[in-house]
Amino acid sequence: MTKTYSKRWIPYILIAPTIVYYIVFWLRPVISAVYYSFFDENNNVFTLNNYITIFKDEYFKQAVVNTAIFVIISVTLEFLVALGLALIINKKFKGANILLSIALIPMALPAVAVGAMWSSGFATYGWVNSLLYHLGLITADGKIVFLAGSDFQSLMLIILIDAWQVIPFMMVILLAGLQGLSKESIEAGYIFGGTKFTVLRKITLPMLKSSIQTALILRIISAIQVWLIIVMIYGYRRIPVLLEEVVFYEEQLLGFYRVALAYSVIVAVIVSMVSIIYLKVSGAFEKEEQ
Amino acid sequence: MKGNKLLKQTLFYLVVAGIILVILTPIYFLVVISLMSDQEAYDWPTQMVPSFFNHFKLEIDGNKYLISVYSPSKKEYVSIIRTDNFDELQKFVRNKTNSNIKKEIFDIQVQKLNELYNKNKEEIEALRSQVNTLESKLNRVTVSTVKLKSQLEKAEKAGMENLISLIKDNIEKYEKEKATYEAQLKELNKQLEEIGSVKFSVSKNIFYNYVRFFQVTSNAWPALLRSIQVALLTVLISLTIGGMAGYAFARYYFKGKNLLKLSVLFVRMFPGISIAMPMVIILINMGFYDKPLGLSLVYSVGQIGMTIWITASIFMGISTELEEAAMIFGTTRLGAFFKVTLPLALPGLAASAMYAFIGSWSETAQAIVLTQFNPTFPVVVYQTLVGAKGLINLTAAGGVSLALPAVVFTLIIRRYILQMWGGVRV
Amino acid sequence: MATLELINLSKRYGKKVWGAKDVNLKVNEGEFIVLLGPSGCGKTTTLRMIAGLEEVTEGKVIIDGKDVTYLEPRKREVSMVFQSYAVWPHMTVYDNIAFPLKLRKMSPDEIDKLVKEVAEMVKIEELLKRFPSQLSGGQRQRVALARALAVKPKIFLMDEPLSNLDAKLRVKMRTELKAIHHKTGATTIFVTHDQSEAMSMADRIVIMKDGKIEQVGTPDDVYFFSANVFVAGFIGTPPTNFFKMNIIGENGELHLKNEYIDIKVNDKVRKALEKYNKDEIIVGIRPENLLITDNKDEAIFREKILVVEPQGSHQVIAVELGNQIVKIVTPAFPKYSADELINVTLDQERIMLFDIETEKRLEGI
Repeated sequence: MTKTYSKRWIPYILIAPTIVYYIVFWLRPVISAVYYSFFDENNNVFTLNNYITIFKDEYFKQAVVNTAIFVIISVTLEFLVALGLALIINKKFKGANILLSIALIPMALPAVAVGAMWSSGFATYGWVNSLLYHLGLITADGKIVFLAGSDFQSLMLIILIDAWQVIPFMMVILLAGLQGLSKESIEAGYIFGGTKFTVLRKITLPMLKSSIQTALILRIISAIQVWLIIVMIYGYRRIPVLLEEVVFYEEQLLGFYRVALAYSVIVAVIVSMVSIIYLKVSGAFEKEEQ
Repeated sequence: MKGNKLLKQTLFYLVVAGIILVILTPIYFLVVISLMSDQEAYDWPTQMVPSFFNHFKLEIDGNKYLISVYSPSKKEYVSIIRTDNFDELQKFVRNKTNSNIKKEIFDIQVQKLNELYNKNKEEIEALRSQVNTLESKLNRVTVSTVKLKSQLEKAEKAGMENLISLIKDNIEKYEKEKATYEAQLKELNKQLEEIGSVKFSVSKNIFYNYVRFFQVTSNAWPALLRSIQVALLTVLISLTIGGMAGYAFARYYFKGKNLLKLSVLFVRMFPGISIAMPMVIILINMGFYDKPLGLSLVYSVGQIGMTIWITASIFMGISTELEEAAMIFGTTRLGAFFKVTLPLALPGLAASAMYAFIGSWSETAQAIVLTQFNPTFPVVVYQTLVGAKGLINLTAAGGVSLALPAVVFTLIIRRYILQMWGGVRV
Repeated sequence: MATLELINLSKRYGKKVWGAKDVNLKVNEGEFIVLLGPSGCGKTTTLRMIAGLEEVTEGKVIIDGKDVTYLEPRKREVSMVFQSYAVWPHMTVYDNIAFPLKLRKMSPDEIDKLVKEVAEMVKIEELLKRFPSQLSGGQRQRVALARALAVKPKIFLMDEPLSNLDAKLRVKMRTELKAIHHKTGATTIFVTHDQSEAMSMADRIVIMKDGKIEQVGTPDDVYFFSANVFVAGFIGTPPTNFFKMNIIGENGELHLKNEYIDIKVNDKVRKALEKYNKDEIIVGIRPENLLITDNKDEAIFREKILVVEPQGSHQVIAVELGNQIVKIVTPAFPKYSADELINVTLDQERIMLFDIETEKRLEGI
């Protein structure tokens, strides 16, 4: 597929703009964020105070815990449902294309539209309760107060809302992977004695490994950075998560800009660590060596 | 055996139908709410379909007109305003119900009403006074019941059995009384309605919320145009820069290829919103802060990586031999690219452009940080959502306007989305 | 080892398109059957229905007297070699062969023994620890074969297993496959579009077209006694020359005649034509059955050579009659060259006659 031409410098010229762009508009802000997070806002003296402020903040621990719960539950849930959905669409039944088109819609919706949809839905007088009432599942006085649940329930609600939008995205990656698999390899599984379940577990999934890795790593990275949907449904500091705290410090408080930067650095470190651990454990690096 | 198959197939399609319902129901309600008037949107339970007509009831109350609108949820008329000024009435009704009552129609109804009122004047007055008495009775009973209920609570805490049963009996008695009053009141009101009011229907402007969203939210139009501008600039930047790299990916081997491929991941590891914060200062220095170009420069960071992935998979799909053939027949390498590969890649590149467009069009988080006086369209919708919680149907209208282009574009490039992810390996 | 019977086996896609229609076939124990036909003729569909990978629309599949039409593939005790080999990329060669055995709940010792046995049979003993990505196409092919052999199936199914190999390897594998079949004696259904593959390997060939069976027979049967114009044209390279001719009686003698050719028929052909009561007929003559002669009188036509294609062991000579190219196969010597005028005759023992309307072979010839 790739050919080495005699003119070796051509590819470097082609990728140079990308590299330069990344340096100017990604690396530079990252470095300045890291740099300023260690300096005092007022007198520009080296300090660890920005970080200390965060560690002393009682919301910090809660944010870490909430984010961890969110990542673990939502990634697991979304992966399983997305896989099921991808397997169904891949069956190529009548209407599979329509189902695919419909399943792509949530992925296409801007976050704000999703926020409007669910905040109008889960309000006590919202459409979810109305629907339940029309279906005869609750009485007029039996409205469920969705948004007043315990912290854990609220987090679960957010996970469901988030899953609604993110599952299609994971599904697309897995479906693309499934469509790239050799059909005959899977059929061979059935011929040589596999039940549907064994074939799925021992043949389809292992062959799908790299797509699964792609889907999971992208999703883990974005799950750690969840915040907007939470703020749209619950507002700030009702369910603190890491990035929501960053935005809180940056947007809602005055004079905490560098604390927000420090917070960003912490989030970035966490994301990178989790990603690297994931890639190591799942063996994505080994593949490169083969 | 065939029956078993049929059962399985039925179950399968039921599951599919369930999935479709879960996906479409919220979207359906967002659209329905965006088509509802304030009156409908805040009625409970929310109706399953928006109404296309409003049914009004007009009454004379003292020397003023009282106009009410029928609420399908409550199954009764809800009063909107009591006034003698037509302009005020028209404005209120329009804002509340999205129906515009024309002066001619109103005059006709008023004339009818006056005739009716003059004919039944005495009866109406009599009924009104009955209603007033009944209402005050009902009020008294209600207050007493509430009092008794709090006594009951105390008694239950103290565990006084005798007292409890006594109070319970009383409550029961009052509730019966209340029910009879209510029934009577309903009957009276019905009579009053028949002889003392006129009813008429006016069509509802179903898209009024969309008009109103852009009227009320003063910067919605400029924001919309700005969003398009930002998105187009982002497409331009990311497609030129990312497309070049994508071509290099598809055709050449070079050092650091894997690293660059993973750049999509690396770039995402540092939160976008955290990049935006220092970018504010950088953009201010460049003079691009709060301008479309500044935003698209930041958005492109995220989009370039994606564009590389997509364009690489597109160029890989075009055989090198086609280019080589063109070169053999006398074009230069560059000429071969422009005359052969580029035209063939065009549909795919268009898809890639749409993908970048959607990404930029929908982006909210960074825009919140990176804009000040010149927000993008998602930010405007976000502000109506988070700020003015009172206007859910307007927010819904904004949300739908925002979502529509993104959804349409996504469905257009459906095939390419799959193709692109098929070629991606972390 | 088992018998296989297909009864009115049909596959319909949508409402009208038939993948296979009324396929009837009886396969004996240990037989090597080749399904042959152009692409889209339904041979692969038929094979996949036998395997259970394709739902049967109508008809039955019977293995060893047992109706398996609606049975899942894994319960049919068949094995299959796929066109793309379908070796599992995430398993080593050893695991690829062992996995089906594990599913059959064999003990590790048994499995080990069996894997080594088949690995030796297909000569991949040294490759057992490798992954498929480290193997060449030919080696993967052998792994697929070993995997299929190891399960000791009742029926051995092969879907164009040699078509992805290069020409030289393909011929070599043919011989090996046949040897393995000889050794194991497994009932085999082999799908191919390559007629020389079919001729060289099959006990019987099933020729299919448009989802239907055109002819079933031994390689000699289908070659020398082709059932119809399609089979006669499909089997053999260069293909059979067909001529539309008139049957004309002249001076008490019967002639098959067209604008360029005149055949005075012998008694055998004459007898065959007795029951045929139409004026026109399709005559099929295989290229090697056209003979170049010095005797002008026995020539059925006389024409200049268009081109000569030397093949080493023989020569293919093309002449043009009207706008029809006629090919003649002659021995390597004597040499001919273009523009040479030749007299051509034929051996009437091997002439093929087909009904002008039904295109079926005439009885008795």
